Amino acid sequence: MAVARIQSIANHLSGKDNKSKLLAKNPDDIVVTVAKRTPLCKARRGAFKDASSDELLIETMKAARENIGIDPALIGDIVVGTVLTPGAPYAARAAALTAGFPCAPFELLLTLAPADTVPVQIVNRFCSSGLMAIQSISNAIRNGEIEIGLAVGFEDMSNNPDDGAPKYAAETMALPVGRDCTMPMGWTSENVAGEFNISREAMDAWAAQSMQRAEAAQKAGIFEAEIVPVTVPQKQADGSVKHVKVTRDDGIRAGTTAEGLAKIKGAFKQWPPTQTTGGNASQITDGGAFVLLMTRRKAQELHLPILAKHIATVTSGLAPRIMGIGPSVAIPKLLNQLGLTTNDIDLYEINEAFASMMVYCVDKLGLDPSKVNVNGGAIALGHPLGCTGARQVATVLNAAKSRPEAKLIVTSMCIGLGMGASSLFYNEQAL
Amino acid sequence: MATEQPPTDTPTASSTAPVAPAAVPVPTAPTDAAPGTTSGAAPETVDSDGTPVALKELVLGFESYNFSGDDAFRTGLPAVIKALKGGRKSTAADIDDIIARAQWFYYTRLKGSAVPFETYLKIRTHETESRPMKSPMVSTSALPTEPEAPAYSEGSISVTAAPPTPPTGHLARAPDEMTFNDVVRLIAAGRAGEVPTQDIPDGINEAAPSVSTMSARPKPWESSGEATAVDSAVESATHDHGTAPDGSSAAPPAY
Amino acid sequence: MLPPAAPPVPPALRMRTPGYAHHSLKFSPFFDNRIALASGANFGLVGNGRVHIVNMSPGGLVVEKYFDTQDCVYDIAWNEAHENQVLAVCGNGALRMFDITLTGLPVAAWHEHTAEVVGADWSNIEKGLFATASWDGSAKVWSVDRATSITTLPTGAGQCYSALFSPHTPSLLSTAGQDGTVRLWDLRTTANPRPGVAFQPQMSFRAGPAEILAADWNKYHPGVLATAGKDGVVRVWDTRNPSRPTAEMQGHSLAIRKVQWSPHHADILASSGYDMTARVWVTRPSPAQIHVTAAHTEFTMALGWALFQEGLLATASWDQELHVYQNV
Repeated sequence: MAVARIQSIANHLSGKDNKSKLLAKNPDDIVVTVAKRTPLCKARRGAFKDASSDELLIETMKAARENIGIDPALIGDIVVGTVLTPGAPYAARAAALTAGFPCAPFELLLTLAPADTVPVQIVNRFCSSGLMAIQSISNAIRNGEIEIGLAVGFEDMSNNPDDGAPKYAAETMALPVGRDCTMPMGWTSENVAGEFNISREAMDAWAAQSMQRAEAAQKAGIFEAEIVPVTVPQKQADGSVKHVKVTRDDGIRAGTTAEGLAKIKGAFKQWPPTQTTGGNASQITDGGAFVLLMTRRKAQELHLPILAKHIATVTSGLAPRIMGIGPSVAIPKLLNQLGLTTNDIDLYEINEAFASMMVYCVDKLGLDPSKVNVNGGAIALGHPLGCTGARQVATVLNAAKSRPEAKLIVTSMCIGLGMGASSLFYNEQAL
Repeated sequence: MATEQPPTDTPTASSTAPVAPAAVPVPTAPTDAAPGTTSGAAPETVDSDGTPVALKELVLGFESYNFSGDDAFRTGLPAVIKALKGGRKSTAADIDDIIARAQWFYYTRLKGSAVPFETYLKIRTHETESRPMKSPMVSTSALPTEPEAPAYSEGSISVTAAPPTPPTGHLARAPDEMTFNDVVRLIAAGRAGEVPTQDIPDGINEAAPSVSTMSARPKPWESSGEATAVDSAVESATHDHGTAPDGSSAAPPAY
Repeated sequence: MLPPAAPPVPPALRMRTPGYAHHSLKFSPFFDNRIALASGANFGLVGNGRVHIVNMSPGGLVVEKYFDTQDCVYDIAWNEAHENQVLAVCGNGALRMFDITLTGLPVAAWHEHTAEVVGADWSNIEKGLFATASWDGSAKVWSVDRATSITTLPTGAGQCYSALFSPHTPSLLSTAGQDGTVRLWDLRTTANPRPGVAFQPQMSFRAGPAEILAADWNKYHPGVLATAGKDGVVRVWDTRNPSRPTAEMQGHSLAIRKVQWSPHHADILASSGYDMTARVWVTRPSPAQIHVTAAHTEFTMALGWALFQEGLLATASWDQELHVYQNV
C-alpha cells in the first residue's frame, strides 16, 4: 500500500515537465496541415512500371499542388527527398514547374514586377530522404526563413534501380569500414540477423504481421484517406498506351502467413545465416508522398486543420555493416534529448527495411508491437527509398486519426551505410 | 527498493520543513511591483541606499545561515539539484546557481518571506532601485521580535489577524515526525510497520448520534426563489441559520 | 494563454496542523465558517489518518475537533442532509461517518473498496446518496441508510480518482482516473443490471493525454465538466460534444490534484497541485489565469471554494498548512 502510494506520486511527477512542454501549443510551432501519398506500386511489375521517372514525379508534384489546400504561391520552398533519380536537382525543379508551381499569375509575368516563383531543392540521405525533406523545411520555418514549406518524397525504382555503391578511393577501400560501404543492404540484414540471434521464425512472423495489417487496412478502406490517386500511362496488351488512374497500393499480398513465408528460400546464400527473403524484406517500389508544413500561427490564419506538430528530427551514425539497427540508436537519441521514454510514445512508424532489423529494434527498445506500424510497413507497402520518410508521416497520421488517445508519434528508419533517423510528432487530430 | 538510499526516482516532496520543492523550478516569485496592490503595510524603514531594513536583515541572515548544519536542507538538496538540472548537463557554474537558488528559497520560506532570488541578486550587485523594495510578506512594522515566527499579510482583512502560531513557526514538528525521506526510506526497506501508528478500533460510537435540525441550504447556483423560502423557514427554527454549535456566528463575516 | 494577471496572492488566514499533511478540504454546506480537512500522518504514505474540523473566523483558523482513523483520510464529504455529519474515505478502503457533536468513533462505517479510496462526493440533488472513487478501479454509490453499496461501477480506469454526481442531472455520475478517460454513468440503468450484461457507461471520452487526477462539474452550465491531472493542464469539456475541450488552461508546471468550479461564478474555477500553487482561472470568453497563490511549501493537494462567501478560496497542503484566500 505504502509502496503503491510512493509510486503513484513518482508517476505523477515523472516526465511532467518534458511532456507538458511538448504538448503545449505555441504560435511558432511547426505544424503539418497535409500529409498524403500516391499509391505505392511494385517496381517493374506494378501500376507505375510504364511511367517514366519524370512522369511519376510530375504526377506527385501535381498531386501535391492540388491537395495542399492553399495557393501554391504561398509556399516558401519545396524540398524533394529522392535517392536514385538521375539528375535529381534538374528533375525536381522541372517537375515542380511543370506541375504548376509557382502559379505566379500570368498577368504578373507580363509586367515589369519580378515574379517570385517557388524554389526547389533536393536532399538525399538515402532511405531517410523523405524525412530529411521534412526536417529541412521545418528548420527553415523554425528559423523564420519561410512560413510555409512543402516536403516531398519520391522514388521510381522501376526506372532508376539501386545499382549499389560506386567505386571508392583506395584510401577508403583500405579500411574495413570503407569496404563495408561497398556491400549491399541484404548483407547488412544477414549481419543483423546473425549477430543478434534473430530467428528466421521471428522475421517471418513480423513480415506476416505487416502484410496482414496492411491487408486489413486496405480492405477497410483506411488507406483511401492518405492516398491521392495519380494518372499514369500504362502499356496495354495490344501495345497501345492508356492513361490510367491508379488508386491503390499493389504490393500488399493478401492471405500472407508466417507459415507461407517460411517456405521462401533465403535470397543470399553467400551470406549466412541466409534468413532474408523476398517475403520478409521491404519491397522495391515506386511512389511519392508530400507533407505541407507551416507555423501554427499561419495555419490558424488560413483556417487550415492541424494534423500534428513536428517537434524534432534527429539523425545518428552507426556501423555500416549493421545499418539496420539505426532506429534502435536514433530513437533513444531523440527521446533522451526530449526527456521522454519509449513509454511516452503512443505510435511508432519504423521503416521495415528488413524483418531482421525490425525484430531487433522492437525487442531492443522494448516496444509494444501493437503500437508499431499499425497499418503495416514497408514489407507490405514497399520502400521507395526517397519517398518513405514522407510516406511514413502520411500513414501514421492517418492511423492516428482514429486513435484519439495517441498523442506522441515517432517515425524512424535505418539508413544505408550506417545511419539512423527519427522524428517526433504530436498528433493534434483527436482534440 | 531495498537500499538505504532513498530511491532516486521517487519525488522528494522534501522534508516537513520547507525545503525547496523537489521537482519544481524555483518559482518566479512576486515581482517588485507586486506588494503595493494588496498590502496596506505601514511605511517601511529604508536604509541609506534605498533598501528596506527588513530586506537587508533577510539578506544578511541568509548569508550567515549555516546551511551545511541544517539536516533538512542537506537531505533535500540532491533531489532539488537533480530536479532543476532536469537531465541536462550542467557546468559547475550552473550547479552553483542551482544551489544558491535552493538555499535562498529554503531560507526565505523559513522566514515566511517570498522575496525572489532575483531581488537578492540585484542587492548583491548593488543595482540602484528607483523605489524601495516592498514585500507583502515582510513588513518591518509587522516583524515580531521572535525572528522565527511567520509573518502574516496585513491589510487584506479588516480585522487584525490573531497572533501567529507558536514561535517555532514553520519548523514546528511533532516529536516523532519524520521527514519525507525518512518515510520513503523506511517504506523502501520494508519497515513501514515501524512507523508509530495508533490502533484505531473498528467500531461505532456508543454515544447517540445527533439529530439533524437544519434544512438544506440552497447552494449559490440554486434558484433564488428557493433560497428565500428556505431562509424564512429557518428563521423560525430553534437554531440560527448557519451557526456553529459553539455559537460563533457564521453570518457574513467582516472580511 | 495570457500571462498571469497578478503576482501571487498571499493568504489572508493560515494555520498549521503539526504532524498531519492534507489531501482534501470541503466547506460545510450548512455552516459558513466550517471546513473539514482530510489529513494523514507521514504525508499519507503510512500511518494514521485524521479528519480535522476547522472553524474559520476573522480571528483566524482553529481546529475545533478532530477524528482519527487507522489509515490516511484522502477525501471527505459533508452529509448534505445532516449538518453534523461528515464522511471520511481512507487509504485502507474504509469509509467512516463522523458526527461532529461527538468525539472518537464514527457513527457509521462501510468497507468494500479493496484499495485506497481517494474520492468522495455527496449528491446535492439526492441528498441521501454519496459516491466514492478508489484505486481498486471502481466507483461506488452508497446510501446513508444502507450497510452495503447500491452500485459498483467498474470504471476500467485503472486507479479511479474521481466519482462525481452531476449538480444538474439526477442519476448522472462521472468517473475519471488513470486511463485519462471520463465516463458518464446513468445510475438508473446501472442500478439493476441484466444478468450477464456488464455495466456500461452512457458515454466516455478521452480527456487528455495522461492520468486524470481531478474533475468537477460546472455548477451553472449543465453538462460542463473540468478535468485536470498529470499533464498539468486544466481542460473544460462540454459533455454533449466532448470531441475537443472548450478551454485549455496551462500554467501549472507539474501535475494537478484538485480542480473546482466556483460556486458563485459560472466561468471561474480553481486548481492546485504538485507545483505547490493554486490558480484561479476564468474560462470565457477566453481562458486566462486571474490569480496564483504560491504560499505553500509542499504539494498543494487540497482546494475548496467557500460555498457562502464569494471569492473565498481555501487550500491545504503536505506542508501541513491550511490557507484561506480572499477576493480571488
